[in-house]
Amino acid sequence: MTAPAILPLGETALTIRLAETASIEVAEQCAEIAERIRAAGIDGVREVVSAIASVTVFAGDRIPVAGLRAELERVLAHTPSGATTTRTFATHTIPTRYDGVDLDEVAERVKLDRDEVIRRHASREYRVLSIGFMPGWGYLGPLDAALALPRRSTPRTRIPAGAVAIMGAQTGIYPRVSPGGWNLIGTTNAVLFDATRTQPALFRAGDRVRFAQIS
Amino acid sequence: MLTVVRSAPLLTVQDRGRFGYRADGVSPSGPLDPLALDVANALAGNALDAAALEGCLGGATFRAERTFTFALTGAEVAATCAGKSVASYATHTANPGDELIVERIVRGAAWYLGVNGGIDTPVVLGSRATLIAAELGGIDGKPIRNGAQIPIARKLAKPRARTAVPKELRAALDTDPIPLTPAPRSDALTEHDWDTFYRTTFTVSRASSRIGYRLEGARIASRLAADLASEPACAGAMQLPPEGNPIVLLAEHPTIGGYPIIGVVPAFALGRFAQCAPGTMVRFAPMTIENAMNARARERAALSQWIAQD
Repeated sequence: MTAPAILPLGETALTIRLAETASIEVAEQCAEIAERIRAAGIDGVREVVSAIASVTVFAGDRIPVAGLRAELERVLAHTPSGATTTRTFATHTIPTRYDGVDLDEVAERVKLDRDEVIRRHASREYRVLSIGFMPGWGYLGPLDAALALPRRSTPRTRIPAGAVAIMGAQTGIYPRVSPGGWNLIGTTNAVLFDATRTQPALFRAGDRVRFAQIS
Repeated sequence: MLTVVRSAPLLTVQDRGRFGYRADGVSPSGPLDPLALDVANALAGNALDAAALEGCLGGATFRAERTFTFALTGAEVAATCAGKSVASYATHTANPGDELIVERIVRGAAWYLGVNGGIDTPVVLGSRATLIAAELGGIDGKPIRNGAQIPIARKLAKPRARTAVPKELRAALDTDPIPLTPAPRSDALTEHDWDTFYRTTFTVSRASSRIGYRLEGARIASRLAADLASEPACAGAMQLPPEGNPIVLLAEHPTIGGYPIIGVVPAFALGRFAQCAPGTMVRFAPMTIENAMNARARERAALSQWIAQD
């Protein structure tokens, strides 16, 4: 692959930019690079965050960012493009009741019947493109293009924990009660974030996610 | 135990922050003014990883339920304990029943109350820092309310009398330009637009919080496309939304930011920036990464030297 840009994020972090815009392939590659940097055990790397088209490496206080750049270049030079190799990303199955308050409206707006909306949402495997927005929130994609809808014009002030939602080319699950503007199509009992777990977020960037309909 | 008789507009438990969970979507949180927290802990006789109280945008009243040593740092405040005036950046003792009153903020945005032993709320994911957006840490992850009982850990050795806190370790609360270091989208502005930016005096908006401060003054134009992918953010990251009013992210920033990051207020200047309360005028000045690291190293050395002196 062509060497991605390594850009300073102030004096405490470096951002490796793989692409300007989002795509599944790039997100997968970001997740892979993040795992490789973690696995490399580079002195001074405090945290690694994988976003949809970039990876940011946070340095500890004592390590000059300049030395870190050379280490990252070395890891990048040894990362093959394409198939992931360091580890098998986890596959999660999310039991989902398709009872979201917006389901009928979604069906109407995309001109499909309700069961077809459910079938299309539940019939594919998604990748966790990145974790962000709030603890444990995973941006999952790609959503069936026929289901693409914009954010709701007026966000809700209170969305329940476990709400399964869609927006644009993505789907996601609200980890906790929060405000939000995505279209709600279902609910799950899966615990997306639990501060008592060693890895508090259920998902990691790069993981695979399936929704299984339950009644 | 410490009773909160009257809480501040925003009062939270903070330690240095919760690191290691950005990949889970958890931002570090921690103090708006990290150096002020460190000095509050040192004056109170604590290790620097102890938790203290951070008060924002106004005063608060506490009642001591036992004898303890404390110190106030950060924003300039008018404060009394048992009716006697209390100077910031010095160690004091409160006796059972004493009321410690931070009457008001004279200058600045965030003050710290360091208490000998440290605030002893539960450790969540390695930290006591409150992250309001995720309801983690502190007291139920929320701003502290009137009547709250704040646990204090077992008393440590009374802190030795310290030499006066040197000027460079006190909150500056000045109007010098805030340094800004390069970021992944610094190229969003043309050289001409950067000139305009650095000549502009911004005002910290009322729509500011521990998540970030919004700046009003000039609308800064970005020459980048609007559909760029979101990139990871950090405390100090200056984002440029399409409407052109920059936002500087602070302790409770989202881990991944939706807007291009055009600059970063470096770690050593973060506290000075965060002390610019809503309504304060601020200007920025460019700084290299190297100078920012050197300034940070000097600050840390000054702190260690002062602590080691006693």
